[in-house]
Amino acid sequence: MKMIQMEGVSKDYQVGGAAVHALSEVGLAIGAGESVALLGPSGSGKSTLMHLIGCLDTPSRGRYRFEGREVGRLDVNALAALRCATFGFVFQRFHLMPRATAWENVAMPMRFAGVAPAERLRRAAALLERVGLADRAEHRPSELSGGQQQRVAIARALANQPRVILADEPTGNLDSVSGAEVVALLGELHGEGRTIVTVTHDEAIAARAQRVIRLLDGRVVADDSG
Amino acid sequence: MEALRLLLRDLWAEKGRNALVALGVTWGTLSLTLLVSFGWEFVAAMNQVAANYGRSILRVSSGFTSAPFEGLPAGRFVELGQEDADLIGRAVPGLRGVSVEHSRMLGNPARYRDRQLNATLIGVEASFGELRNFRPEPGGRFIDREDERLNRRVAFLGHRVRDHLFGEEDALGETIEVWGQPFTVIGVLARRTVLTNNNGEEPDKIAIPASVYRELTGRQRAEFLVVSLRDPAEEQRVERAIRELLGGRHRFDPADEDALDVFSVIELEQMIGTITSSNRALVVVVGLLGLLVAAVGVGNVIFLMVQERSREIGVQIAIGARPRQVAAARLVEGLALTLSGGLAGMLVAAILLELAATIPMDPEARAYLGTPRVSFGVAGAVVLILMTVGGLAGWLPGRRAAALDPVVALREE
Ligand SMILES: Nc1ncnc2c1ncn2[C@@H]1O[C@H](COP(=O)(O)OP(=O)(O)OP(=O)(O)O)[C@@H](O)[C@H]1O
Ligand SMILES: [Mg+2]
Repeated sequence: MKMIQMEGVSKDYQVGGAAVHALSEVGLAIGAGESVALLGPSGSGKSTLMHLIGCLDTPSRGRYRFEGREVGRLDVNALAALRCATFGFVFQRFHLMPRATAWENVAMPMRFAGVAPAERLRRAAALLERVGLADRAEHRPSELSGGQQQRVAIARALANQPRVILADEPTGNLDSVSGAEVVALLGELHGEGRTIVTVTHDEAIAARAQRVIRLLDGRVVADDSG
Repeated sequence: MEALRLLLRDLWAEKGRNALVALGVTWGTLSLTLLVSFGWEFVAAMNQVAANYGRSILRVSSGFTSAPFEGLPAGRFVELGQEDADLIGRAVPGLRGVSVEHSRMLGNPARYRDRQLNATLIGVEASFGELRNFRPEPGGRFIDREDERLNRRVAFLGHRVRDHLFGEEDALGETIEVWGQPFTVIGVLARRTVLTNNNGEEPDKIAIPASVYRELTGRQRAEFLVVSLRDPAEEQRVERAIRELLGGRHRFDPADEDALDVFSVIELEQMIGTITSSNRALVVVVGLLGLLVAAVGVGNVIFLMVQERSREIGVQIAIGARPRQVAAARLVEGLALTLSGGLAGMLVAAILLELAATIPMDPEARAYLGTPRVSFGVAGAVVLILMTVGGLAGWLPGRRAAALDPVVALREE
C-alpha cells in the first residue's frame, strides 16, 4: 500500500445553502519519496486536494488513508499531531507570524512538537543556514523580501523533519529569480528522499516533477508519470 | 525562555493597546485599593474613636426630685455614692461593670519638684479602667484592686498633666504631691480621641482610687455612676432597673425623670454604627461598580486583540499546533498582561498611601480618618478578578479561533 491512498474522495462546501463540489470522486495513490505536481486552472480543487492530503481537512465522502490510517476517523488532536510530525506546509502567501523573528518562526512547529528549547534554537539556526538566511535570523517577516520569507517558510516546514512537504503555489507571489530558488530548494528536498507535493498552474514548474496530476472541476483528468 | 520571549515580543508588538490594557488594570487596582483602604480605615477609625470612650456606657448622675413622694416634698437632691454603685453592681443583671466617679474640677494643687498645676481630680474604682477604656502608655498600669484594698496613694495621670509636671522626663514610679499628700505615679493615659467629655478633658485629669479620694477630700458624693452594659439593646431595661433600685434606696418615684440624670452614649454609638455600616456598603457598591467597569473594559480589549489574530491562530493550527496549546498561549498572555498591570497598581497604591501617611495633620482629624494602609487582601482579590477576566478574554476567543477550520483561516485574504 502507498503512503497516500485516496479512494472516491469528495469534498463539498456549503455556501449559502448551495453545495459546492470542490472535489468529486478522486482516487489517488502517492508513494513515499515521490515528487508530484498538482496542476489545474483556478478553482479546479488543487488547494482543496492538498489540504486533504495534509490532513488539514477531512473528506466529505470516500476514504483517505495515510500510511494505512483512516484519516477521517482521527480527532482534532490526533490530526494536529499527525500534521505536526509528518507534513511541512509551504503557502503561497507565506503565512509567517508577523511579530516573530525568522528563527522564532522556524522554531514554532518544534514548540508544538515539544522539542526542548536549546534543541529548537540549534535546529532553527541550522535550517536557516540551509535556506541561506543565517544572517537574517533576527529579522521579522516585514523586514524580509518575498523570496526570503518563502525560504523562511520552507525552513519552518522542515522544522520537525516531515516526510511530506506540501507546497501550495509556493512561487505564486515571487519574482522569477526567487521562484527559481524556491523550486530548486524543493528539488533538493526531494533529492533527500522526501515526498513533495507542489500545487501550481505553471506548466514549467510542473514539468520538473516526476509525476503531474491534472485537475479540472474537482476531478482528476490526467495522471502522468513523466 | 523562548515562550517568555515570544510572549514579551507579542505584547511589545501591540504595545499601544497592551499598555492601555495594563494601564486599565493598574488604574482599576489602584482606585479600588485606595477606595477600600480609605473607606475601611475611616470606618475602623470611627469605630476606634467610639470604642475609646468605652462600650455601651450609661452615665448616671444626681438630680432633684420633681414631685412629692411618700410624704416627702419635691425638689430633694438625690446624692449618689459608693453604696449606690455597689448596689447596682449587685442587683442589676446584664452589666459589664459599674464604677463611681468622684470628681473635683480644678483647685487641686498637684506638684512635682518645682512644677505645679491645678488639675481635675477624679476618684474611681479599678473597674473604671476597663469600662472607660483608660489604657496606659507602655510600662504603666491603671489603678487595680490591690490599690483599692490597701488604700494606696497612687495616681494615674492624664498625659497633659504628665507633660506639664514632667516635661520629657519619665513619670512612672515618681512621687507627686496632691493636696499635700505624696502619690506614686503608676501610669499615664495613652493619647487617644474620644467622642465626649465630662468635667473637662481626660488628658488634664488625675485619677486616684475612689476610697483615697474620699479620705483625702472628705467628700462622699459621687459625680457619676459609670455603668457599662453587656448588650446595648438592654438600655431601657437597665435604666428602669437602676431608677427603681435607687428610687427605693433614696425614696423617689422611679417614674420621676428628674430624680436621676442618665446620659447614654449608646445612641451615639448606634449612630456611628449606622454611619460606618452605610459607609461600608457604599464602599462595597462603588467598588463593585468600579471593578465591573474595569473588568468589562480590560476583557473587551483583550478579547478583540485575540480575535483579530484568528488568522494567525489558524495558521498555527495548520502547521501542527493543538487547539489547546494555542488557547493556553492566549490565556497566559491575558494573565501576564493583567498581572503586570495589577502589580503596578498595587505598588502605586502602596506608595501613595505611604505618602499620605506622612502628610502632617491635626491628630484629632487623623484619629477620625485613620492611617490607611494597602489592603493586600483587597488588592489581591481585585488583581485576581481582573486576571480571571483577562485570562478568559484571551482564552475564549483563542479557543474559538483554534477550533475553526484551519483551511478557512488559510483562505482568508
Ligand atoms: N472553504 C471553502 N468554502 C467554500 N467554498 C470553497 C472553500 N474552499 C474551496 N472552495 C471552493 O471549492 C472550489 C475549489 O477551490 P480550491 O481552492 O481548491 O481551488 P484551486 O484549484 O486551489 O484554485 P486557485 O488556483 O485559485 O487557488 C472553488 O470553487 C472554491 O470556491
Ligand atoms: Mg488554491
